Order: sequence, then structure tokens, then C-alpha cells
Amino acid sequence: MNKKRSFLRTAAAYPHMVWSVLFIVVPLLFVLYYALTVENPDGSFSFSFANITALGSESYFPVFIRSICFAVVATVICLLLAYPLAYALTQCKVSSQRMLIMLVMLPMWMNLLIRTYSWMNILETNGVINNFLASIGLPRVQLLGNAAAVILGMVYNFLPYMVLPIYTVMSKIDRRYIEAAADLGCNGWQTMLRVILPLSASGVISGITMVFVPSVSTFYISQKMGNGRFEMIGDTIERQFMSNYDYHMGATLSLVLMVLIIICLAVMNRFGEEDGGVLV
Amino acid sequence: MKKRVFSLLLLCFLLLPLLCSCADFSPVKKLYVYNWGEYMSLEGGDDLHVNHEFEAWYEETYGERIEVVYSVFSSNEEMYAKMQNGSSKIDVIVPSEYMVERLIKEDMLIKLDFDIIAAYENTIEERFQEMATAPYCVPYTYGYLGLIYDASLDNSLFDENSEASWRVLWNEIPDGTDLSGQILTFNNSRDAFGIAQFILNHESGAKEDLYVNSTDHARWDEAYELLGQQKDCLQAYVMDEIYNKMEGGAALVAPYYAGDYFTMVSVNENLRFAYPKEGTNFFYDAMCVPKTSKNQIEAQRYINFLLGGTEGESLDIAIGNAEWIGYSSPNVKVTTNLDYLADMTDDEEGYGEEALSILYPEGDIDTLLPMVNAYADWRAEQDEDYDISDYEGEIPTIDLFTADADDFTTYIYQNLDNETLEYANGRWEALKLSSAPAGGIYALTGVIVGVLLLILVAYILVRRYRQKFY
Repeated sequence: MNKKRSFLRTAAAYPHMVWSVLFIVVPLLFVLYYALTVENPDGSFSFSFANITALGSESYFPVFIRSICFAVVATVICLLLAYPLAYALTQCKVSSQRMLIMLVMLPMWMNLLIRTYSWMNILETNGVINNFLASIGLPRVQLLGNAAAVILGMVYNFLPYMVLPIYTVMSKIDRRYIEAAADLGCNGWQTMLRVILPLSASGVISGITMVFVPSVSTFYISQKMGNGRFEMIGDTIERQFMSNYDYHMGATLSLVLMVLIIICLAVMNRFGEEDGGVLV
Repeated sequence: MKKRVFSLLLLCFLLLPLLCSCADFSPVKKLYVYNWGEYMSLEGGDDLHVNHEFEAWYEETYGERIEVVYSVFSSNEEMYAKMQNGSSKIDVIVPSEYMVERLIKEDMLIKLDFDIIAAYENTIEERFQEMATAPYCVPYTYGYLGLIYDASLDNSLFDENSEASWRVLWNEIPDGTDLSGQILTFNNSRDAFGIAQFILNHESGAKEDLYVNSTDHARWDEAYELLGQQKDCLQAYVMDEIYNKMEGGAALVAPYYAGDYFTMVSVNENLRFAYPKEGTNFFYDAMCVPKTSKNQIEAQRYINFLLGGTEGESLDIAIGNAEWIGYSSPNVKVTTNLDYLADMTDDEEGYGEEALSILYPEGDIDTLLPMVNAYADWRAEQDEDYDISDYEGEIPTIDLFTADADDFTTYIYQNLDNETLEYANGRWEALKLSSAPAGGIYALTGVIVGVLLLILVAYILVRRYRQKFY
């Protein structure tokens, strides 16, 4: 009996293992292979670090910095918006909580491209906002094509990824802790800072990673909302593959981006462990 | 025992998709056509559906069923990437001229059999038949790049000789209007560089092409400098978004293809079109058959059908398709057809009076137009099943392709050699990497990092302070 169950258990994992090897491990090896090779004039590949050293000499460094800065700002804005929202949600009746969480997730049922395109229509010089301004006699303003528009696009698209983990962790906090804090003389702010915040830190950390990682590698939002004027690392990688056919440089950039993200995750995990050991 | 049966079942389950994809169960032959988006009349109902017509015609002629599997791409590069990975089945592709050259060079196309594409000789305009690429491809459409602008600029964009210049995309407007933030340009290297190169070539006074297909790095640097100057007055680098932006009036000037101008003007009637004096890009998209195709004969029959050279109603289909696409047609049988000309200039069904002079800028449209109008008037009076041979008016014999090199300069993009291509891409890369200033974001990031550090320090200090009490 016991033996059979353990067989079933391993068998259940096989499809997933096959899947991961085929679609995660093998592609990653390809990325590594392309990043560490260069194409010879006769079409053959040879091992070389030339791509990685080229990163330093060409002007990719500012692009990395730019992507990281945009992602940091977007993540912090998401956090500042999502944390109070998640807290407010947990204070609602359970039945209305479900409804409200569904509203938070609603935009995610639509495709990211469509959401971004809708924002373009709203912000365009002849879009909804500008038409309203014009109808009350104000001049039209250029809302697209600046850094704020790119940030807006990122925040809008990734906000649910911040709200959901924070809300999940917060709603599981035992209310007795809060009552105990009040009994021991904590006022509202002290309860928030010294009880709720540490207990919900794991949600905050997983929210931050879930927003930061897609924002740092985003490529569509910056092109559309920034009118193609703010080049992110994702845009650069896309161009290497789609129009320059430089698979080696594209793979190198992707590899560097992945390493950066892994470093960020490792740092975040360290913080997470200190604060009581939670998984991201 | 049970265990073995179970794992066998599991194995079968896992292999099922593999088995399915190997064995082709359907008896119907499939023809895979890979074309640009919105580039063939595929309407339902009473309107023309080219592929359904072909399927019906094919079954009638050859007694064999065939199914056209039609898919679309949005750039030559995308198509090339899909062809290169080799796994996809494609029988007919429609790349642009420089990509055709590239595919020929890389030995990816078959030499076409003009016994199968029998209509070729009598339908395709001579100019195309003389091209070096001719044995490998059959032109489908062609066209020119022009300047699309808002009617409010009608008086501003033109100089004293009433000529427009590509320089308006650099916010250099003859009457001094400021258009910065209202200008769009292409978000792909060849087209963006092209415009700068037309200007440079024109201003250098050279008659021949010194810049567009140059292999000289210094000439690419010049174009790169010029594009750098353009950056600040641009609203955006765009490709397909151009439709939305021009149709909605979000931008006032943009370069785009003549055929697509009609799509935009049908939404926003305030748009106008002009060919700048520096000359422009001449392009064609041509049907080719890849070497990997398993249905090469059928593919070539399909091409022949699209030319309208086969018996029956095939010419009507070629005409209907050309009218639907709205690009210039390289098919002489189509462009000399009075119905085609009358349909194109029709205000309601077609693209208006200006259609012919925009699509065929090299032809003598001034002489042609009265004849077309006379025919259109006659046709309006006939009942539905009129016969074109009853028409007694003058039938035009004007060649729409007469290249008049003196007042209309065109450049054709040739496939660049790898070394030049790499250099050009590098320049484009450098242009794109230098982004618009985003100082606010950097400052904000600095503040955020600072605040985080402060919190960390405060946290550690408070912790230490508290530890004293334990």
C-alpha cells in the first residue's frame, strides 16, 4: 500500500519534470550557449567571452541602470498603493472581501497588450482626458511619451501582483495578536508598525519580487507608453532578436538580466529570513 | 504487473500528441500561405474571398481538394525568423524586395517555373521582369513612401515651388510653424535611415544613389548624425501605431506607404498625402516559394491564379483583390482594366479622384483621368449585367509605369552585405540607446534608496537601544 502510494507520487511529478526540462532547462542552456559563443565568418560558432566584454564597451550600461531605476520607482509606488489597500480589504466583511479582491484581479483577465493600448487611447493628445480638457476650454497636454507615463503603465499592469500576496498574508494574521497589542497599550500606529507590519512582511517581500522582476524586464509598456523614447533592457533584447538577428548579444543581455534578478531575489530572501523565514 | 500497465498507459498518454502530429489524418492537401497582415481580400459573404475562390477553382480544374492555410506576419524580419527556424511549413511567402534578395543569396527560394505561372509574361509589368530577382519571385504589389500630414498644414509644408520636403520631419517647416512633438517616424532602422539618406543624397546634388545602399561607413555616420538631430522634435518612433495616431489626430506628420494612406484617410478625412522632392523609396512585395515547400507545384498554381491569368473569372479576382488592398498593382491586365480604374477613383466604393495620382505617380494621370471618368459615367447608366465591349468612348492606352526620372526620384533598397548591415544596425542601436532624459526617475530612485538606508540604520539603532533593557 505504502509502496504504491510513493510510486504514484513520483509518477505524478514526471509530467512536470519533463515539462521543466524541455521548456525551462534546455532553453536556459541555449541562452548560455549563445551568450558564450560568437559566430565565425564561415557560420560556425566558437567559444568566447567577447559578448560579455562587449557589454562594457558599448552603451548598454545606462540601459540597465535606467531599467532598474524605473522598476524601483514602479515597485515602490505599487507598494505604497497596495499596502493600505490590502489592509483596508482585510477590514471589510468577508463576503465583500471576495467581491473587492475580484475587482482587483479584474484587469488581469485582459491581456497586457490590450490594457496598455487602452491606456494609450486614454492619454493620447486626442484621447479621453484631453478631449475632456478641450471641452472645458483648457489646452491639450502631451501625456504620453514621458517617464511618468511609463511608470503609470507599469504600476497599473503590475499592481495586482502586489496587492494579492500582501492581502493573503494579512488576512491570515490572527486577530488576537492585534487585540493583545491593544490590551498591552499599543495605539493604532504602534499596532501597525510593531505587529501588523512584521507579520505581513513576507507578503510584502513576495509582492516586491513579483512586481520588480516583470518591471525590470518589461519591453512592451515602455515602447507604447513612452513612445519608444525610453529604451529599457527588454526593448534592447527584443531588438537583438527581432531585427538585428544578433542572437549572441541578445542572449548575453538576457543572461546578465537573469543574473541581476537572481541577485535581487537572493538579497530579498535574506531579508525575508531575518524577518521570520518565509518563502518568496 | 499493475504498475507496469499504469506506466505504459502514462507513456502512451505522454506520446499521444507526438503521434498525432506525425500522422496526418486528413486527406485534404494543405497549402500554407504566409502573407502580410491585411494584404488579401478575405471577406465573407458576398464579398471576395480569394482563398475560397482558389479552393473552388482548384477542385474544378484538377479534381482534387486543396485547403489554403493562411497566416500573416507584420515585418520581413519576423517572416525571416520563422523561415530560418525551418520547422514551419510554408509554401508561399510574400517578402519585400530586399528580403527577396537576401533569401536568394541564402539559397532559400526555388527558381519559379514559368510554364506553371504561365500568366506571368503577359501580366507583370516589364520593369519587374527585368529585375535580377525576377526568376525567383512574382511581384504582388508595389508602392512608394510618402508624407502623410494633417490638412491644417496644407499651406505650411510646401515651399515656394509648392514642393514638400522630408525636412519637415525635422521640424523644419517652410513657414516657420513649430511641429515638435507632432512628428512621427519609423521604428525600424532601414526605413528611418532611408529618409535621412534621401535628404543627404538630394542635398549632395548627386543624381545617382550615393547613400541609400552605400557600403561606406562615413555615409552611414552622416545619416546617423542627421537622425540624432531629429530625435528631440519627434513625438514617437512607431510602426503600426501610426494608424491610430494619424487617424485620431494625435500626430500631424508621418511618413508612410501610399496604399496605407487610403486606410487612414477613410477614417480621418483631414489627412493629405505628398511625395517629397528629395525622392522616395520604391518597394515591391513579391510572391516566392521556399525550397522547403512540399507543394511547390500547387504553390505556383496559386501564384498563377492570383495573377488572374487562368481561364474563367480569375482576372476579376485579381482586380477585386487589387482594389481591396489599395496598393499599386504590378499587373498590367489589372491596371489597364477600365473597371479597375473606375472603381479605384470612385468616391464611395474606391479611394477618390486622387487615388491614381498617388498610387501611380509616374504615369500620366492628367490625361488618363478624364477617360476614366467618362467611362465611370457611362457605367453608371448601364444596368447590372453590362458588357464592357459595348462602351464606345475612348479606351486609354496609357502606361501607368512610365518612369519619368527627371521629376520623380526613387530609390530601391538593396540587401546590404553583412558587414554594412552590422554597422548600420550598430548605428541604429546607438541612436535608440540614447534615451530621452529621465532625470526625475533617477532622482526618485536615489531618494528611495536613501530612505531605505535610513530606515535600515534607524532599525538597527533602535534594536540595539532596546537590547539594553532585556
